[in-house]
Amino acid sequence: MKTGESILTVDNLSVSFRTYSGIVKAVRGVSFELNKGETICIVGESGSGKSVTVKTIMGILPPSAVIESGTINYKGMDLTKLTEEEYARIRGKEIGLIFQDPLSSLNPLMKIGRQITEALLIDKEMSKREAREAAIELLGAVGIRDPEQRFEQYPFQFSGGMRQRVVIAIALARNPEVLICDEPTTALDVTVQARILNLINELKQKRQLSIIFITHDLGVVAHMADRVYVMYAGKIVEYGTAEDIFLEPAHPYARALLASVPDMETEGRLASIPGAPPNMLHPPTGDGFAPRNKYAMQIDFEEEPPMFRISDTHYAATWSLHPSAPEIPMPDVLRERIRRMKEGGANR
Amino acid sequence: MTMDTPNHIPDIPQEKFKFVQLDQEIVDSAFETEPIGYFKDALIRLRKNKASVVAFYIILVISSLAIFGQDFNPYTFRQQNPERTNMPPRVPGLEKLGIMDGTTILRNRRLDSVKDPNQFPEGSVIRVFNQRTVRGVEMVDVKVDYYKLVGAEDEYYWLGTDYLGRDLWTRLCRGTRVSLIIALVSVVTNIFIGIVYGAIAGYYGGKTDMYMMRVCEIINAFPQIVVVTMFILFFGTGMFSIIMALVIRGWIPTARLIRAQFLRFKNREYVLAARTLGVGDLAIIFRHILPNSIGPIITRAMITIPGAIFSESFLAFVGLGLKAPEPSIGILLSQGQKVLLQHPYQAFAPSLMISVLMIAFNLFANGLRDAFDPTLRGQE
Amino acid sequence: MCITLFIILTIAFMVVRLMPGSVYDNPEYSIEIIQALEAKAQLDKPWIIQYFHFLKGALRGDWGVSVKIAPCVPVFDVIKQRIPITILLNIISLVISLPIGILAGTVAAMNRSRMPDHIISFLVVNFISVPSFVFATLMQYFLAFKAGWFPIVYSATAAGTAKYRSMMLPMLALSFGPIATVTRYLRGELIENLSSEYMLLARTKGLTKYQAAFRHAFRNSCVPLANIIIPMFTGILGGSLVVERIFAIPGVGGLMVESVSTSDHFLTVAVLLFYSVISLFTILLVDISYGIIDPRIRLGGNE
Repeated sequence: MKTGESILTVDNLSVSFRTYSGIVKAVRGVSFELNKGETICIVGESGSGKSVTVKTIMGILPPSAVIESGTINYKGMDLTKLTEEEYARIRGKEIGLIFQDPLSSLNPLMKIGRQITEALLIDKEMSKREAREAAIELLGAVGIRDPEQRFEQYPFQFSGGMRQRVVIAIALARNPEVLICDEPTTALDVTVQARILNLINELKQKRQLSIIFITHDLGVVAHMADRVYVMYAGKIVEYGTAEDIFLEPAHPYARALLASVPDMETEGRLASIPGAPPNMLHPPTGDGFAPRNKYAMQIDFEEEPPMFRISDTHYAATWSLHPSAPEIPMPDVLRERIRRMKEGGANR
Repeated sequence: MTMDTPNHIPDIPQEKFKFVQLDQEIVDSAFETEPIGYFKDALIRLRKNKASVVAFYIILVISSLAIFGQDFNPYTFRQQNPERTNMPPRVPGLEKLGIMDGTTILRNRRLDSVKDPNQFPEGSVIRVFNQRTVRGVEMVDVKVDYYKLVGAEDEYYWLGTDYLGRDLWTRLCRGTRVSLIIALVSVVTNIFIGIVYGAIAGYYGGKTDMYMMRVCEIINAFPQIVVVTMFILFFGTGMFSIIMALVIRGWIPTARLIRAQFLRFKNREYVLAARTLGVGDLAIIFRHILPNSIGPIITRAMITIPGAIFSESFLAFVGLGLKAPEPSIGILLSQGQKVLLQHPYQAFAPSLMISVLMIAFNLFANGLRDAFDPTLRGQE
Repeated sequence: MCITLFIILTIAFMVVRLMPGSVYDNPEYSIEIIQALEAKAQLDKPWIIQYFHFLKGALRGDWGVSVKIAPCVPVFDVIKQRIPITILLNIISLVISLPIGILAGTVAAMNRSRMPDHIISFLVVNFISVPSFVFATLMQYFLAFKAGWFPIVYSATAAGTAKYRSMMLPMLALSFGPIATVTRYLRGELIENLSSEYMLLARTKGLTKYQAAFRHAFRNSCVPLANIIIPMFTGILGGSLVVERIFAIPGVGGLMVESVSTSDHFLTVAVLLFYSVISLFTILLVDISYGIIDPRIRLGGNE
């Protein structure tokens, strides 16, 4: 892995929500870094804390959320310490965000064009006419045909994929350096998904973006990621390059996740992950995944595993990497698939 | 920081590294919280809403006053007493504090009459003030103990009496009862018609739905006042026709609500499943779809009650209320309003009653709405 | 809408026609006069002819003549001179309640679950619950009679400021409810819109909280206000019936109360028709304006 210049570093971030029933610890000591020009994917199931993490980075947490600890370092600034006014200058200008649901993220009663020019006019460097031209150009750049006509239309006149393109245009309007994509394709049709992903990749090349990509879809990860962070129960449990994670998954959750994805060779029943995700009102002690792990050891229930180094780029937090731990077999499906992938790679 | 020091390998005793659940089957377990039913959940949240709880108790107190209040003193709601007209309120106990002590101010009396013990018996005059001369006659305003003045020192009219000498406490309790009955009966009828109509429209859909909703729209275009007034003009005043007048237009919101619920639920998988199993229409309507709407229906009923009470008072004010001597809050209010400047207490008591009643019902309804709101479920 | 008007007319006819006794039942009239009047109104003909006669008259603005309040004067003329004050009162109430309600609703929503919100919500519940005639009664006693700040009743003869001062109390009494209604509705809409996804998007563009709230959430929350204006306006109208009587305002509302109590049915029916026409007109107006405001309706969207 080329260790590029780090642009965004999240260190030991913990975020909790105060609810009526108690404190929900959504994010528990998450650390990761984003290097210039790379795409990192954060993978995990619903409720693992992915979205909360990126909302914290954007400073758009709901009022019930509290940042318990940690820092978010962006270009020497700690984002967690910013005031609301300072944050308003970061959002859109430095970091852009694409939402999960393009259907509801556009204002239904405002013309598409105005929603884009509104962003362009924040810096007060453009006249209205210039903003209009820039917005039409942006619409073209995200692949919307007849942008001049579309400029005057309302969101309800756009399809889901088109709306996501508009959202991307808005996110990129002020040339941010970092783009955060929070499951941008989940709400879209599969055929549209691929086009949006390609668009994001293409824009990344053109604009030298650094991207944080949130998803639970491993297919998307394979398509996008330079490096992958696997999240479970509010923690990063494993990270490494895409190859590290796909070919040598170490954490039992990462393995289970990979094993549950079908491929062309899959026969019989699909593997699923038994049990339910932990209730974050009472976060688990030890390894959060232990109750759902067939090969859980006693230590897994008692003590939280530290990050074990597997290679320079690949780390995982699981006791199974401890020298004293017994050998834990890779699931059959996975072993078979990895073997095929390696062979395929060698043949090519 | 985990990123920089991932390679510190802790010393852990070997025996900790043995598999503990290799042979157990891992089942999908639910969250460890106790499962709470729909109504229990709503009840828990309702109880947390203090305003609603207070409102509920106020409604209880007023309802019991409406039922038992008229038996608290010896008067009846229709008993007239020409010698005890327009008595100010007098309450034992409270009178010592200087409020509701049976005193009142008589204005523009001739000074010589005030001094005449035949007109103003010994001790009845408390204070004489505002003395002035009008066309050569000495005039004063005088604060009197009205009960002594009319020789009723041993009597207590808690809220005073009206122009016919009827006890206002008794009439207020009776009136509250009447108003509540009108409200309850009309609301129950509304809800019933609304459920049936809405369920049919929503369940069968298509053309049926379209025509049925068109009818609703037409009826709804009539202003409420117009409908109610015309109805009463046509059928005459009386409890039944007032109730019916409130029903004519009142069922429509419920019908719309139920229809919307049916449209939402009738294509849910579980309903389709029931239908493919051969469950009949009625069973689907009553067993599978309607229970989802119970929360909104109860809330709707509670919201409608203050509206009905308001409409009844409105009619009384317009002169289309119940026939005398039957009182209702509205009738008491409009009678009191007529003598507001002379005997303000006659308007205050019913004003207070209707205000408290409406506020209580609205607060309680708000609490119910929040309690039954599915988006707030589980959040206490 | 035409159907509604037609139905109202028919019912009005039935009410007048089926009322026990003659509609011209006035002790001052001799039998001959009553018969002459009935003949003139074609009341001696079969009911179907009467009905068409009635419809024809109603469409031409001839709604019969008053019997007791202003004997033999066409009801249309009686109403006509009472309309301006009623409309003035109602429109003013509506016009002052909208901005106040919008302001209060915004303050409450922006300070959600904090002190201003609690205070406003408390006031809203009270204002919505307490009927306008109770407010009118209390204000008349305390503000006008006891404190003497305002005239006790409306004075039609007074000119300039004195006239408007005498209109203050009825206007206030009529406005409390609508203010509370607007406040509650706007607060609800605003809270929903403030927590919507597009507000997040607006903020991630770099708009400040207040810019985003004003440009997106506030604008969008005001659009559905059109929904509650109809019931609100008819509510004010209904309230004004009673409030006009309490403050002795010579408006249509007071006229209706008088006509009901003197059984002047032609007049009552005419007043009711007046109210129906007004509220139908409001519905039409709101429908049209809604189409103009909301692009989804204007451009025929189907969401």
